[in-house]
Amino acid sequence: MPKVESGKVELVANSDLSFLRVATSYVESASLAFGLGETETLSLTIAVEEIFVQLCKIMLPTDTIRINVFGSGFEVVLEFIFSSHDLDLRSFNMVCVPDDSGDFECNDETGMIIASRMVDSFSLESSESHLKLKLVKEKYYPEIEHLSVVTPAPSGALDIREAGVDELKELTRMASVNYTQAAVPESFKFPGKVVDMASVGYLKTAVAKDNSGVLAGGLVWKSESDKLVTFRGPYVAPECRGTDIASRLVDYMLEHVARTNALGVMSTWPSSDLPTQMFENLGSQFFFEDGRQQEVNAYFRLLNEDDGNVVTVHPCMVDFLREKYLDLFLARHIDTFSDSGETRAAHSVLSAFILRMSNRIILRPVIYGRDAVENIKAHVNFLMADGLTNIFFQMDLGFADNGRFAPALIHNSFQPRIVVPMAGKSDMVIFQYIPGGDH
Amino acid sequence: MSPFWRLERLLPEYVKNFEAYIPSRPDAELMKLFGCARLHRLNNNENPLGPSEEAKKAIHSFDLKKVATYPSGDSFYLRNRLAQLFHKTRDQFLVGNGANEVIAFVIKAFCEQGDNIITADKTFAVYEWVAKFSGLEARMAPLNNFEFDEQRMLDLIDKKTKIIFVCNPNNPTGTFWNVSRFKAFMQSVGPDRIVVLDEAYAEFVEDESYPDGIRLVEEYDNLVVFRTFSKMYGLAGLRIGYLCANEQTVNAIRKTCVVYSVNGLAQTAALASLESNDHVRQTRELMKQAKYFLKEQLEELSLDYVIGEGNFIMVKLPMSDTLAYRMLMKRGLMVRTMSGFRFPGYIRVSISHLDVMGELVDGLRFILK
Ligand SMILES: Cc1ncc(COP(=O)(O)O)c(C=O)c1O
Repeated sequence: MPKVESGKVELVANSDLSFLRVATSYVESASLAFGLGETETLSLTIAVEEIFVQLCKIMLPTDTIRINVFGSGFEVVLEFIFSSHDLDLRSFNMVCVPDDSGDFECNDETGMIIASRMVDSFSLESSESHLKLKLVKEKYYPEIEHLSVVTPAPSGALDIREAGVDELKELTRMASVNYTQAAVPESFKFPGKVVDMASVGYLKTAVAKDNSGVLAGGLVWKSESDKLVTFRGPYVAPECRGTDIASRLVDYMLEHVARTNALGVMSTWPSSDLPTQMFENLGSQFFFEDGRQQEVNAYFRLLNEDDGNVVTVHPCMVDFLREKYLDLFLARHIDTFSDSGETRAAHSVLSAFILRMSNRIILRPVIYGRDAVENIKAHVNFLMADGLTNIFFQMDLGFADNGRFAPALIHNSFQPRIVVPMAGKSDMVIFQYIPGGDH
Repeated sequence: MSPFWRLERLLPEYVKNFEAYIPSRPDAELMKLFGCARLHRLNNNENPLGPSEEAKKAIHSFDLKKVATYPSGDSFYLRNRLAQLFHKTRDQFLVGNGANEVIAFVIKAFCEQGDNIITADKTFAVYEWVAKFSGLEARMAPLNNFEFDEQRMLDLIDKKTKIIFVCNPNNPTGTFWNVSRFKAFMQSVGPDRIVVLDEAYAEFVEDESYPDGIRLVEEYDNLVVFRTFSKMYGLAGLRIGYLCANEQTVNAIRKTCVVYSVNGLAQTAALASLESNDHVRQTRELMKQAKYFLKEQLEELSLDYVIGEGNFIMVKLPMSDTLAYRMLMKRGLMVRTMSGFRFPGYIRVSISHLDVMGELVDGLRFILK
């Protein structure tokens, strides 16, 4: 694999508007150095400007902001890290929820919204004391129209190994011409990007080839988080359908992710050749686009022995979870909490992880507050108006505050769809916004 | 700075990236969570017959006053007895808190940053773990047809290779190298690196061609052999195992060993275990019967299996092994999933009494439905 530009640079600046130019020109030079084109760099610079200005409004000029820029070959990642101490965190909601006190000004378009439109993904992460805004801008890659070409049929013994550059390009073609669009990742339209992703180790690959080098199948996977690996495929050459090649590709991946930090392996968009008997069916999610909907099962398997756990959830979740846990043979003791009128923060904060290209939003709770119902509603309205129709909400049952959002979600036409065992601090419940209610 | 940021800076990269092993919870907790009335642990390759009569007697008559004083720091009497039994000197033995601890002794003694160790990809994980969290590279040679593959291991050797770990018989496949194969391997490796022969399951092997590592120590200065009292001798709960090598090698390893890590009761029980012949015979007999029974039953269920030496077998399931684990747990049967050994879809079952093996077969039948 060829070497690509990678590395990290850091800037620490006061949140003072007089440093705005410093911040933007720093990000501009870093992103050019990491190989982004001028157009992409300009978008990223606009995003930085919007965010920096917004941060200066809510922070003191003596506070500091750390701006990290990472280059990883196929994309540039920009992080703003700052102390969340004494900040009105409401400003970090994508949308503004007006309240009666009048002490919080609602603008139509926050800098964060503008910034989010400039990049390929946008998210907010919070730790105990810090907030991190993370923006990702991908390099430009030419889109390839994959053509069906006549290739020899694989024959004889097949060997499974990591894909080389040409093998990977061949895999993107073979998968694109033989499988439905939904079964193939968007990135396969850009083979150059896939190659770069693999060469920096972001994407892991396996291909099956015969002795003369003919491609019989392949599979790709990546770390979604510390604990979860997600994969696409397996893709099998038409002549090899019905052989054990798909299982061998899956086994190859499982052997590679065993003894890593990952606890589970999942595919929410598997191919029709997935050996489903080797996985657990977590249930289905919908994909809404252009007025149509498609229902897809999520397949998963744990990599380790789950010895059971206690989860504490809102009473409205109990029936759903009990059924899921029974189906999955997961040993879980379900405790409930309820609202006993204790004082809660007035305002909730949500982080929106926006994946514009694939039309997917993942909302994650940052802080629970009494305005949860209104806040969720405002987010949904805003995102739907922006053409983003697949809205999910991730609830980590390891954090009680996450669980408090359950009634507000259900009130806003979200349905709990699947439970991913141990995908967060504890099990992760994925809710999905179902427009129009019952499905 | 929050404690999290501080820790991030203090931790070496190789520790940060290492995932701690989480042992299973105590039986009572598991039974509560899985809702089963009893639990058969078939996951750790223990001896279902427990310790020998001699060991039990020694444990019962252990002088409680000794609990207040430190034990022999170097397991003096046990090493004496081992020397006598195996016709060696006392200083050719080093006793540890289980064979697991002596793995760490050996790696600490010989390896520094930049070095590597070699083992197989599908074997006992602790060699790889200790190497990784010590900042060393663990190179893994794929097995060939469930066996350690000498050529693939030799191919991985470079200037920085310090130790090669061979698990004989291999946990979890039960395969072993015979004497001539092992000697040929030692010949190819040459004298410049340490070869560890982990014989944790040696006492289960009856095959004449099985190499007795302890005898071979006289022929190879760079050979280190591991044995344990956890498996055949049924003392896993007391944590005691040992290594044997030539005197200079043991003297070198001793520098990195923590004295007093082996408690007095374990030393006493281990010493007594060595006096029993019946126990080994009875255990071997049970293994033979139960393996025969399992073979028949697994064939009836049309399940593939790997049965070799040792007190365990592997079964290939047409489903996720980690799901099978949870389904069997609900029936009070705890097996070891093999995904973590890079055998996805397999489970390893420790051999136990025939009635328990019968329950296991019923459990398998249930999960296949
Ligand atoms: C091959 C092998 N070596 C070493 C050990 C460790 O044994 P001990 O209990 O003595 O630490 C085991 C235990 O499972 C084992 O299987």
